[in-house]
Order: sequence, then structure tokens, then C-alpha cells
Amino acid sequence: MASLAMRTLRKRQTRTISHATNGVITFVLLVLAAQSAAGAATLRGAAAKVEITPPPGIEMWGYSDRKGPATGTLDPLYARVLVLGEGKNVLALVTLDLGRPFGPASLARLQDVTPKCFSSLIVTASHTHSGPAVMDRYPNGTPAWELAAIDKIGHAIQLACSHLVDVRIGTGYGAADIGHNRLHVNTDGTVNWFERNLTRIPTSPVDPMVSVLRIDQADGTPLAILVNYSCHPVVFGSDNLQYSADYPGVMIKTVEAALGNKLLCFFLQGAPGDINPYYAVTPLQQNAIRMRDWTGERLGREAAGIAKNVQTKADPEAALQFVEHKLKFHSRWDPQKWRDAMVAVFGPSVFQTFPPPAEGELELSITTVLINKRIAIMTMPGEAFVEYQISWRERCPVPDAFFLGYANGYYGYFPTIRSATLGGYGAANPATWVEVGAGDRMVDDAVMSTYDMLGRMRKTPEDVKQ
Amino acid sequence: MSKQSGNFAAWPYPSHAYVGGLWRRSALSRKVPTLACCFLFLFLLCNAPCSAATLKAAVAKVDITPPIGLPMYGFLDRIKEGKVSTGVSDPLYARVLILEVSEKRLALVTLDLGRTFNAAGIEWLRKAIAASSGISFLIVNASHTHSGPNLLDEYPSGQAPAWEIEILNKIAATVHEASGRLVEAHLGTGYGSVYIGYNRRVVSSDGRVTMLWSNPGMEPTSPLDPRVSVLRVDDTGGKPLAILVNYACHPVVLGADNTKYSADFVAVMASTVEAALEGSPICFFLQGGDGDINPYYATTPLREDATAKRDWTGRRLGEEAARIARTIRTEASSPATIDFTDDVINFPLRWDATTLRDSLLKTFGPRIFEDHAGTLVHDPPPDHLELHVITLLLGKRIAFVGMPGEPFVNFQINWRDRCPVPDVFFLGYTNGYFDYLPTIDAAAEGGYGAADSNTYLEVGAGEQILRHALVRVYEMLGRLKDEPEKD
Repeated sequence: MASLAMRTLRKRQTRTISHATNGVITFVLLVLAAQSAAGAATLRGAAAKVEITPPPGIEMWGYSDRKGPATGTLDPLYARVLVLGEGKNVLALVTLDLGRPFGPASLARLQDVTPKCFSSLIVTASHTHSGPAVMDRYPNGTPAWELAAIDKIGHAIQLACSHLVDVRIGTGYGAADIGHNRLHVNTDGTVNWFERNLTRIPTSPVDPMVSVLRIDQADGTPLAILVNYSCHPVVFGSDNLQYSADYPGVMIKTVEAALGNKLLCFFLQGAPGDINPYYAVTPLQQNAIRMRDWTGERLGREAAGIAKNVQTKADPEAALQFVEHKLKFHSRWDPQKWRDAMVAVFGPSVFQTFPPPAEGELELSITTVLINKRIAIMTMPGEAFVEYQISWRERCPVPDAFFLGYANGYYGYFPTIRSATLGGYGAANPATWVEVGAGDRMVDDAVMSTYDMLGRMRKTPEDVKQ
Repeated sequence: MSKQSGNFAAWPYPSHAYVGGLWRRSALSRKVPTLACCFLFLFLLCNAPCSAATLKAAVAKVDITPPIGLPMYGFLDRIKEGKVSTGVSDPLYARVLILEVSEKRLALVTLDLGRTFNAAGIEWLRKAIAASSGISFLIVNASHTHSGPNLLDEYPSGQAPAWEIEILNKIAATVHEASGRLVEAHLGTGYGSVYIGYNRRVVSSDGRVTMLWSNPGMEPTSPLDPRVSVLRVDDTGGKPLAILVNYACHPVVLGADNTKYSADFVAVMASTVEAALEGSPICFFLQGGDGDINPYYATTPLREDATAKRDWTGRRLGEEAARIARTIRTEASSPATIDFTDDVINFPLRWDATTLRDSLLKTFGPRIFEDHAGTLVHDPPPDHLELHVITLLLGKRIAFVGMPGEPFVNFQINWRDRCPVPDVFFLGYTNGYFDYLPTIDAAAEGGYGAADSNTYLEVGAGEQILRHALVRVYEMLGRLKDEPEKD
């Protein structure tokens, strides 16, 4: 902390480093930094982004009926890096314009290329369905684009870690109405797939809450705006063969423009396991780009409005804590029945882009972060149904609760117990394969971890002498 | 309604006799195993149901009051002072309800005791009545009266005392007797509410917990579940056989100064209900999630007329239960089904086991293991505990969950909120005893039963048990498929 206090005032730095990867991918790194301030416990931060758009020709994520691999780029895909530190505790949060986070081998590689840089890593994906296919294990080894992306992200993390500056934070909330619950439960208990909702018929449950975490430099200049919301980025359908971040890319541009383009906006995908945008899978010939923009701008305008009103402040008792647990779960299905259903639902080529997870007990990683003893973030490694996000907010013992799906792994859908019994896509089809109730247990775990970090879970019984 | 003799040697049907902590084949069964098997076959043949879709029931109760002079359950002070029982205020009973559908036969046994028998005792009973009476499923629920004899998970001698063995044999005999007179039965449910207790953990605005050990001024507290849930079992003529009353409240009107056996307010409740209904039904008390709920007049000193307070509490609950019971219209269960699971879930200990054991000994002395935490008596203590979780679904619409300990009341409320059938019952102190099961929030807040040595299962165990039972109910309803949808 002493060295921070001694830092001299520096101007915000913007570095652009370009080099070629495979002669195609441009690598842009933006580092924003500011002065350090004196103080006892200080939260420090830095943000960066790096383009990770793969070359054309890669199989794409998300739809089993695509006609071919990617043919180009509609808008570039980025990885955004936020590093937060307090004392020795350093969190690296990486958001990806991808369908899912990288698999275990690539996450391990990311740790390897960033030695001693951070103490906790969260890699979370927006779940865009217009990105390259990402797999836990590739039949022919990890593709070059992913290896290159990992290295770029690693460099971005390292650069951010070496440019940490004093920051102050604040939160704000609002509501945006851009999506609907796509599992329509009929009065007889059957479930209909309600993919598009062009007339915006009300559905339930939906969580319209837009949660914003604003991180400012010490002088109040915004450094990063984190927007947490739950909605599948699937305005583009399977006819789109160009890479795109879908509506989150537009949302980010809208927020950054509204706040002067001198910050980085992050999209934190929440629990959209059953939430689609109104204009889901719009055919390109029906002006899908416009629908994507409408969706992103609507969310972005609300997020920007919230962000502008957030009053950040430095907390003299700044603290950054995190807990990572590995929870073991059983598979929901018999492995052979699951494979048969995968082929029946998604076609015979499903395992070319979606390899079956390892059999037997599944070990899922759950990270809970607590900032300044009042802002909690929980992660789930898959597609959580929206009620988990609502439940987490209701049960979390601190005022600010953020929920990140698609984080540090991918294990398909996490329906609520009730949803699992009602059925439908992601609830009882092969897209969900972890035991029923896994999501409930993960929320329990995050609540307990938060209590633990607050120092409210005793290590010894109250009544016994030590 | 028969009162059985307590001598297992005079009752030949179990192939095994319980001798306390160990399984030993009885002299009779060693000599004539073939005879026992033949009898069992004939018994089952004679009792084979005529109709696959008919619910049958039978009830009985048996006096299980132990001899005086025993250490009593529940108040550590009484145990530490070496006080023993000196008499009987009101007798303690075991009540037995047998339900049968087709080949499935369930025995529900409620006890006027502080807790259920230990694992060996329950297992003996389960096997004994399976062999003698064709019982497929067993639920043992204790009322948690603090005026009964002390029961332990492990006894210093390695064997259960004679009085406990006698009780087990009496219950087994009663189950057998009742199983022989099953009649076609109808079921019905009803609900009401009554205020006889309060939440004894008062959480202040700064998060601190203060224990409110009695509340004679009846100050409002929260959370609390005033719901009285009643299951009525009639014969086909409408005559009530059994009234099951599910409510959550510690039976601790009588305090540590009382040394006479009593079922506490539960006995008064049961007699109030039984007197209010024609047909001489047996009233069962099903203790719920009372881990943080005390009666208003908790631990009333005897000199302050504790008996009158006990009676007031029991009558108030009993009058409401009787009112509900009278309004219930029973009907043939359709479909007549019994679905049941008894699952073992392993939970790690909440505390470092060795530290806890040593700390308990240091704080309370060696007698601590006579009050609770008997499962931790081993050196080294176990690193996990095996809990039995029971789930019962009657007629695809009346669901029960049983937790082996003292669940906090929010679990009962949560179970009712989430269970997907109209009629929901919640049982604590069932098929085992592992002390308190606080909610995660309560465990963080602290207080008695929430963060002291009276709770030693990992935090979140109650939530996990509830989820497990919820999944089981959905499975029993056929709403959780075992293979993925393919459309």
C-alpha cells in the first residue's frame, strides 16, 4: 500500500499495441489508469480489452441447424479484463463475447501465462450465439484462435495488474424490458417453447433488473461500468454466419458513448437459462441487425442512465474477498440415454461441437466475491434459470448482489427443481445434465460463503471454551 | 388400543430380539427359524389385500412409561446435577398407525419421548415389524417432551438399558397386534391456526441474537408458524380412527425442576381432541419444525403452577385441532397409494470434530455426552454423520418429510411453500436424532441451536434435506423422468 501512496500523478494512459496473429486478428489493448491516493485500505483497479475475433471458417456456437462455419465478422468479439485488488487479494474478471467460457485446459493455460498476477480468476461469457464453438476438449487439439486468445487475454491481465490504481465504487439499479420467459407453462402443466415474442406478451418469471457496478478512478472519472442482466444473446439466429457479440455489443457501445467513451463497459450475463430477447432468432432478411440494435440500445440506455447516477465513493475499510468451492454433483441421466437424446435433439453431428462431459461425478466450480463487505458476486458454471438470480438477490446478506452465469466452466442448463419437473428446453431435455437441485445448492453455497466472508459464520461453537 | 406386555420372550414373532446396541438372534428364532418363516408366510398370505386400490388402517397405543429413577431428557442442568425421575405426572405413550395399500404397509409410531431411539434401536424395530407384521416402511417421530427418560445414541455399557429394550418390544408387539385388525379407511385433511408459542431467538436490528427463554407476556415474534395441520383417518362408516395433529412447538412447559414423567402439553392436547370427537379415536401429535419455537409458558417453575400452564397450552392447541378435525370430510383415497423413501445422506461435521469434542468435555465435563453429541463420543470423532431422511406421499396428494433432528421453523414453512401437493406435513425428530438443524441465515446469526455445540451438522444440511425430499415427491408423482426429453 505504501508504494501506491507514493505514486505520482499519472495521466490516463491509452496504449494501442498491434500485432498480427495468423495475419488476420488485430490485437488492441486499452489500459486505463489514474492516480493513486493515500489511504489505509485501498481498492485498486484497472481495465483492459482485447479483440479475440477468430478467423472465418470456424464452426459456430449455439445452433445445431447452422449451414456452415463462420464466413466473416459483423462486429468484433472482445475479451474485457477487470482487475481489482486490495492488499494481496487480486481478482481478475474476464468477460468474453463468446457462447461459453473456455474449457479447463485453456483456463489452466491462462493461469500459466499470468504467473502470480491474481489470486482469483473469473472467466465469464456473454453466451452470444454468433461466436465460435468453444469446447472442453477438442478432438484435434485446442484451435489456434483459442490459444491466441488465451495468450492475448493473459497479456491484458498482466498489463492491467501492473497498472492498478486507486478506485472507488458504487452500485445502481434500474429495469429494462427486452426479453421474455421462453418456457410457457400451460394450465395443464405442459410447456410450450415460446422462442420469439414480437408482440411483447408479458411472461413470468422474468427479472427486468439492470444491476450496475461503477468503478471510478480516484478523481471520479469512470473507469469501468459493469452491467449485469439476464437475457440470451440470440437476436441473431442460425442463418447468421458472421461473428457478432449480438445485443451485448450494442449495449456496451451505447453505455460507453453515453459516458464519454473514456471507460470500458462490461456485460455480465446473469441467469438467462429461460429468458430470450423478444426478437429472438430474427432472420437476417427480416432486419435482424436492427432488432439486435434495438435490444442492445434499450438495455444500454437504461444502464447508462443508472451509471450516470451512481455516486461512487472510496471505502476507508476497503476489502476484497473471494471463496472458490468445488461442489460435486451426480449426472442427472444415464450416460447412454443422455447421448441418445443428444443425437435425437441436436442431430448426429452434435458431438463435433459439443463433446459429452466426463462421466461419473461432476465437479463444478463456484466462486463468490465480496467487495467492501457489501457487494457480492456469485458465479455458476452454466445456464441458470432466472429464478436463481432472483433467489440469490433475495437471500444474499449484503445489499448488492450480482449473479454471473457461464462462469469458470460450462455444464449446460441449471433449471429450478420445479422447472425440471415441468419440462421443456433446458429443463428436462439433454441440454441439462447435472442432477436436479444443483442450482439450489450453488445458491446455498454462495450465501454461506458470503456469510463466511462477512465473519458471521463462527469457526467454533459459541458455548465452548477454547 | 391394547396395552401389550413388555416381555419380548413372551412375544414370539420377531426373529430377532433387541438387546441394546447389538443384534442377537433370540433363543426362539435360533431354535425354530423355519417355523418363523412359515408363520410369516401364512401371516402374509392371510393378510393379503383383497383390493389393490384400497387403503386400510389400524391404530393402537401402548404405555411406555419407564420405571422411575432414570436420568431425564433435555435439560442439561438436571443431568449435571444427577437428578433422576421421581414419579409420573402423566403416562408416556407410543401411538401406532398402520396404513396399508396393496402389498405396502406403513407403520407410523409417535413417541412421548425427547427423541427417537438410536440407529440400532430403530433398525431393530424396523426389521422386527417387517418380519412379524409385513411392515414395509417405518416412521418413528418423537414429541420432544423434556419430561421423559434420557435416550442416548451410545450407552457407556455398550447396550441399551432394559427399559428401552422393553419399550421397543412393546412397540413391536403393538404394531403386530394392530396389523391384524386393519380396516378399510378414508382420509381427510384440514387446517387452522393457534398461538401457543413464540420464536425464542430474538434477532435485533444489529444482528445480535438474544435468547428469550419464556414469553408469558405473549410478545409477538418471528418467524413463527401458527398452522395446525390435521390428518383424519376414518373407517368407511365415518367413525374416526386417528387424528394426526402436526404443529411446531417445544414441549417444555415443564422445566428442569420437574422430575416426573410427562408428555408435557402434548398429552393434554391429545386428550382434548380425543374427548371432543365421538368414536374414541387416537390422537397423534406429530412434532414439526420447532427448533426455535418455545411455548409461551416455557420452563415454568412448578411452584408457579406449571401444570396449569401445561394444560392451558395443550387445551388451546387441542381445541383448535378438534375444531379442525370435526370439519374434515374424509373420503376414499383415490388413487389409494403409498409412496415412501428412507434415504441416507452423509453430512460432514460443522466444526472440527476433535476440537469440538475436547471443547465440550472442557466446558461441560464428561456428562455432556449424556445430553447430546453422543455421536461425537468416539476418539477420534467421526468425520461425517449418516442421516435418514424420510419422504412419504399418500394418495399422490398428502406429503410428509421427516428430518432426524430439531429443524428450525422456517424449514416447515418452506416445505409447505415448495411442496407440489395440496397437503403437506412436516416432521422433526424422525428416524434419528442429530440435534439442531438451523437455517443458513440462523446459523450465521447465532444463538442456541444455531451456532453452539447443539448443532454440529454442516451448515445448509436442512436446506439439502428439504431439497432431497422435494425431489422425491416429484419423483413419486411421476413428474421427474429418468431420461431426457427427445422432442
